[in-house]
Amino acid sequence: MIEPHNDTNAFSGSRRVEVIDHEYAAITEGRTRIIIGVLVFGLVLFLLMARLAEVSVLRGPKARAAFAVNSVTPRADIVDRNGEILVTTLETYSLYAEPSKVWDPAQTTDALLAALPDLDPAVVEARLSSNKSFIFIKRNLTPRERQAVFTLGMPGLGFRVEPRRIYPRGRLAAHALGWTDVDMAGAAGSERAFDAELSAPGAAPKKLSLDMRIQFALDDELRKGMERFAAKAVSGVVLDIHTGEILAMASMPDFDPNRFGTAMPQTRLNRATMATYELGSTFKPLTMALALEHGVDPEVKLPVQKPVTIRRKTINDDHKSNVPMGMFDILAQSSNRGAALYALDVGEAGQRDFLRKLGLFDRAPIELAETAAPQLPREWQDLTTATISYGHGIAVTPLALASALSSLVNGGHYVDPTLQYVSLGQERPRRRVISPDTAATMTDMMRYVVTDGTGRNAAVRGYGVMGKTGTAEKPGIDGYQKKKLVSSFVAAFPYSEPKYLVFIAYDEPQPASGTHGYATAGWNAAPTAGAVVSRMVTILGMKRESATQIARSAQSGGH
Amino acid sequence: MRKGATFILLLVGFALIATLYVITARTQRAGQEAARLERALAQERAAITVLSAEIAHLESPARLSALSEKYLELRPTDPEQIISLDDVIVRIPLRAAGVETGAEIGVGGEDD
Repeated sequence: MIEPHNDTNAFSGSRRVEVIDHEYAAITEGRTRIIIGVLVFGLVLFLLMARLAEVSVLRGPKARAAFAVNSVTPRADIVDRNGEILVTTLETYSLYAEPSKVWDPAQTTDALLAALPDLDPAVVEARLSSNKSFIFIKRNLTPRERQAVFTLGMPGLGFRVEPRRIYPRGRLAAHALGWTDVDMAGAAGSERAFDAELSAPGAAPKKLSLDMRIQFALDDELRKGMERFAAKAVSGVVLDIHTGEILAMASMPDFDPNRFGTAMPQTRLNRATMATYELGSTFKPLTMALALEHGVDPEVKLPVQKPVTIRRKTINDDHKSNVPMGMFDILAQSSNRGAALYALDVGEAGQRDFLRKLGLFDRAPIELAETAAPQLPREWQDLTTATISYGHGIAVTPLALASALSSLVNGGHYVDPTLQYVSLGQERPRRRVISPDTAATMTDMMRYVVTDGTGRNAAVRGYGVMGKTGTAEKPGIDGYQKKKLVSSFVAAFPYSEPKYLVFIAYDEPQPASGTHGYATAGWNAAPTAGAVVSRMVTILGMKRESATQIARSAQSGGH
Repeated sequence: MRKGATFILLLVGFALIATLYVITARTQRAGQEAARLERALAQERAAITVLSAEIAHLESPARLSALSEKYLELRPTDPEQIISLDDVIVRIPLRAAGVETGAEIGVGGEDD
């Protein structure tokens, strides 16, 4: 269509005609638009396809989404030296309620009580009626309890999975293992000492130095002994004297760590590491070693038949002798006078240095947090030196003394006690405290105590047991109390190649049938230690020692 | 020519879409399977832990010794019950009776 120009002069003189092709313009414009549209469309399509190609072909499989693993063991197990489980973690179910969703608190309480009879109905009902949004009714249900509640089908109740520490062996090694708080953080014992290792993600089971079998033997004998001698408490330690490993450690009265919350506080006390006692004559071997280190000849006899008086205090002997005695007999007959004379001969400074070297002035260097520092005399004079020579006036923990005594029979090294497993060939830090000669003489002397002295009741047929008794009166308000004793016994074996040490300490043992009215160490701690030794040799499958191996090699006692 | 190119491009596009769909579906299925396996594994592990705890409980020395005393009349072994090889040799002569064995055989020691 050709439209005339809208000009009145169109046909006037100039004859110029301007033709505008509207249709053509419209078509051209339309085309352009279409092309733009197609281009945009094509571009978008291309982008989409490129992206598709990229997603489906070029890019490899995306990193696999981390699927939540129901981790039931955020805390590693604890096992004994043979890999037997001592502590593990289990999933338990904690029952909660949302009171706003509970229809009828009274009815719900009744139903719950049928499933969980030990709940307090008044408390539960009050809590269910409260306007809180979330309450725990009971934590750590057993699977059976959970099922019982589950089948009630009550609304407003639910379970939350919570891990919990389980001590499948019950009371066994309860003190050494310890316990955790509600958040599963170590609160005592090994749980606390090795908390970082146990709670590390993906941690392997923690191997302790304990041997469950020996632990049970110790446990069993202590339990029997405590009952038989009606003692207030008893504790025991079994050490490997070369590695310092604690093979067993027990304290009675004890508790069940699965229910540690309900345990009486005094049962939670680890007496082997936390209770300090004046342990009495079990200290004497230290005094003998001290004298030997200072060049005293053990054959020289001391006038122990005569009273020894220091600062108007007379030192008495339980087993009085009428003749002078040499060192072997002084130890075997547990003469306080003899020990005092030796210590006075060496002097205060030498004694202090020696006891410090043996770690008796510090807490026992063990991983456990619950170790008590010794109670040392406030001032140290000649009388102190004399009394400490036979174990009075200084209060230490059974473990501290056991570690010190270990170095007398292991060749003369002090090895830090440890609760961690020491693998074969692994070096442990140790320091020489006495010469090998002194150690050899001490070994002989302590054997003599069992063959010819106060430690006869600890003897085990076929095995050379070395030992020393110790009976001490407990200090009271006015002086020492005649009737309240602490009796202890240290036993080491086998004589031909000393390897293990057993330390037993009774707190206030009483005379029992068969002890002839005595409550001294020779009648309670010694037989208990002997019983532990005799169980240990069969558990460990130790070879019997021959008569020649058991016979003492060095100087004899001789009366 | 142009039409052909567009057509091919479209085909490729559809092929890609189809591939993507298949792969995504497979991934999802594999993921679900993995999650299921993980859950099963966790459950099995939990069950193993429970069982080993139960074994540990049932095997605790205190329980075993009580049971063996009650039903089997077993007691802790006495060191007396252990003898060395030397003792056995003495009790069961290696040579026929009558043959002098000389003084080689030593009696295994016991002493205290």
